[in-house]
Amino acid sequence: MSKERVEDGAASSEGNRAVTDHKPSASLWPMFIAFGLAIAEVGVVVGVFVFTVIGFLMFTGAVAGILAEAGYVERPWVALGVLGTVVLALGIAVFGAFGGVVGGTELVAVPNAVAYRGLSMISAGALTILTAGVGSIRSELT
Amino acid sequence: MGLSGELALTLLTGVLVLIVFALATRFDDWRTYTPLAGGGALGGETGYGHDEKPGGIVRWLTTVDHKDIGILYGVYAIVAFAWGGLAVMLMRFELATPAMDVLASVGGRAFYNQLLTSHGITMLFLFGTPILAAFSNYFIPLLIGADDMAFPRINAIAFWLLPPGAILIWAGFFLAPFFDGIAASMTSWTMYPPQAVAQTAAGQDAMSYEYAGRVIASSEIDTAALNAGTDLMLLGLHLTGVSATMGAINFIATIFTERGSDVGWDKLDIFSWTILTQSALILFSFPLLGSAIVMLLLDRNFATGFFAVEGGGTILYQHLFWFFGHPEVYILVLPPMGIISYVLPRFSGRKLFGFKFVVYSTLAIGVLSFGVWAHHMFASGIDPRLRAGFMAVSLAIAIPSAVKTFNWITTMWNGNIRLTTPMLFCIGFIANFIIGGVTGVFLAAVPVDLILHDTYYVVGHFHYVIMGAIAFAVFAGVYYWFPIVSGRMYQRTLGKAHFWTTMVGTNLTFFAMILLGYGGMPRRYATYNGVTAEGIIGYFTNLHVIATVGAFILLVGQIIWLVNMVQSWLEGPVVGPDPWNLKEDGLPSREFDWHADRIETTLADGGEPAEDEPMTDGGEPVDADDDAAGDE
Ligand code: HEM
Ligand SMILES: [Cu+2]
Repeated sequence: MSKERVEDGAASSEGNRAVTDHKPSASLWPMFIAFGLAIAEVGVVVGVFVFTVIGFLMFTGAVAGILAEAGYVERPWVALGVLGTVVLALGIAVFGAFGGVVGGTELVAVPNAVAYRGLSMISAGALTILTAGVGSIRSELT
Repeated sequence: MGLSGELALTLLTGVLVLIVFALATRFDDWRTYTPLAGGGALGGETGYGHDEKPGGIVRWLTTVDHKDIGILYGVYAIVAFAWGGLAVMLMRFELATPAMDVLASVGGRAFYNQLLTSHGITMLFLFGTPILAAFSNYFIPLLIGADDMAFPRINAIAFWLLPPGAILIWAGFFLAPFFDGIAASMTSWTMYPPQAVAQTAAGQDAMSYEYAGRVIASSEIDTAALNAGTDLMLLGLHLTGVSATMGAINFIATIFTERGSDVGWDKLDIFSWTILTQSALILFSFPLLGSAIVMLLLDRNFATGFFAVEGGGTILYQHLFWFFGHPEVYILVLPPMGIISYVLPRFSGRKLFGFKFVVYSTLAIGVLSFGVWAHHMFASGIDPRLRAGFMAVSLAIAIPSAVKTFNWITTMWNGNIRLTTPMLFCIGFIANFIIGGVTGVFLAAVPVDLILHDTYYVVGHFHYVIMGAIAFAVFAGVYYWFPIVSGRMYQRTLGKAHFWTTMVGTNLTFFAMILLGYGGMPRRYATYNGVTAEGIIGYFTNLHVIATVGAFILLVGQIIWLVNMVQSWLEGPVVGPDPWNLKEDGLPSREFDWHADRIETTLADGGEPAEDEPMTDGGEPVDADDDAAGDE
């Protein structure tokens, strides 16, 4: 986001409007950030597995996208990977703290609704990291 | 829990989302879009300092231009206004008779309480705050000579949080037909625990037990019985709070850093001052609401005890809520005061009287509004010494409000008054605000409040301010700036009809409520046929009928307004550069300079010339009310 003003263009009263920096006029990401956040929030609080995963994917994806678009990060896939790791870590923390167990006959055991939410965040984080991986490999190739 | 099935479903939808994203990012560069040709009535295409926009619906979904976002906020707020208005019409029809009849077949009292909750929350959070954001988004950058907001993308995020917020807040109504355990929330807009923590979909209590014939609150909640509609509403409310906070940060940054080189603090207009103060209030109060909501959600879903009796208790919630809640009412009223201070002088032919004092009183209200919250809790049994302090500050806050009122009246004094539609709404604002304010001062006195608390008097008080003043200022702003936003002029006669129906309807409805309150009619009741005192039931019924008639007049007025707006936007007469003849009085305003510039640029670009000169509402001196200057 280049915020510098073109000083010499601002001499006349309209100057500051006519010349000056480039404000963006359209961006794909804001809507997805908002919707992603909303869906993820509903998913976590009400405990809807699908919503949690979709919501976090959408949210982290759009945040990575907007950061890249605004020039804050060079490679969006790396940002996405970092965000996915954060979600994954949060999920593991919740899952572990509320008695979720891996292994045994059931493979994954969720003793209560909170651990279940942790599990859904783990899935969201893992899927996000996977996406980031695939994406960066693809962008390496092209 | 059927985990594998859910995992499969999740993977499938996840893949779908990815595909959508991959497709979307294919449009690498949104900037390569060709501009809309020629502009058209809607918003027009100016492209100053902006890249070109994509066309069609995509433009509206991806825009980060403050003017477009302002229009989006406006449309959103009007949809919410309609929802909240229709909800309250049902309530008013129910109240026209003492017994439960109109709503009896659709859910009775529980449904009434759902409507009540939805009406309050919708009007305050989905109509009030967003409609003010519509004005500030569109006009603040123009007024301070900025190219756009400081953070255009964050601006867009803040807006797009609102539609999901509204869907969640209303979700209970949509889901109720399909799920037994879900209904629209019945907590009322204040969401006091224990109700808000433990209400079932039928409106029963999920955390009480009977003891010696009385219902006692316990700490055990039957979580399975809770109404998920309330959870969804709390989530939606949380999102709108996040949205308001993001917007506030953006406005503070914009007004501090993006002012044009010729706009110093001394030149900052009054509307921008009120938006700056409002943003500060939002910044310090909405996080409180957010935290209180999160605590409610945790109490409900995760068995915490923030507001349980053996935890913080319900009074803790009231403190948190009203520490947000009182500033919220000033968040809603300050920008409308700014609109009045901005528009009223333009039709009085004079500069705003005592500009500095209007600014100072705005700042004073901003500070004081954080010191009065407990006046909403006078009847809750808090320490009487606390009450005295809060009573003093509450009485004091009336002073800066009165300063403004006197300044407006003095501005009009001996002025060259033009009774255009925006001016009528300004004058209506002052009249109604005086009644709303004076009733507020009475409520601020502890002994009076103990009698009037939780009666219709309170309802009358705040509706005089919210409907009688805030909505009036919104309409004043809408009419005043309609020529800029649409490039066209509205129909004058319909505008006048809208004003008079709204003025009469407001006063019929809400003055009747003040009288109802004197009679002791409690608020938040669907029926009053249980009243046995001799004579009083007739008194209540008559006044409720009057209030319902008033509400119906209001409904008709707002339909007239909508028709006027849509029709004029599409085919109203095109306006010239100075539709209000502001130059004549030497009261130029920056946004109309911008408007004139834009018309010039469009002409230079080969747009259609506006041959028929401004057909304005009162664009000429107003000795003859019905002179030829009228619109169609
Ligand atoms: C002149 C300054 C004002 C004073 C002294 C004042 C005082 C009060 C008091 C003491 C109450 C509590 C009544 C009760 O529940 O027993 C109250 C309620 C209320 N006031 Fe005001 N008020 C003022 C201005 C305003 C303004 C400007 C607004 C709106 C923009 C407003 C909106 C409200 C609302 C919404 C309530 C009801 C809250 C509820 O219980 O649902 N007031 N006011
Ligand atoms: Cu208050």
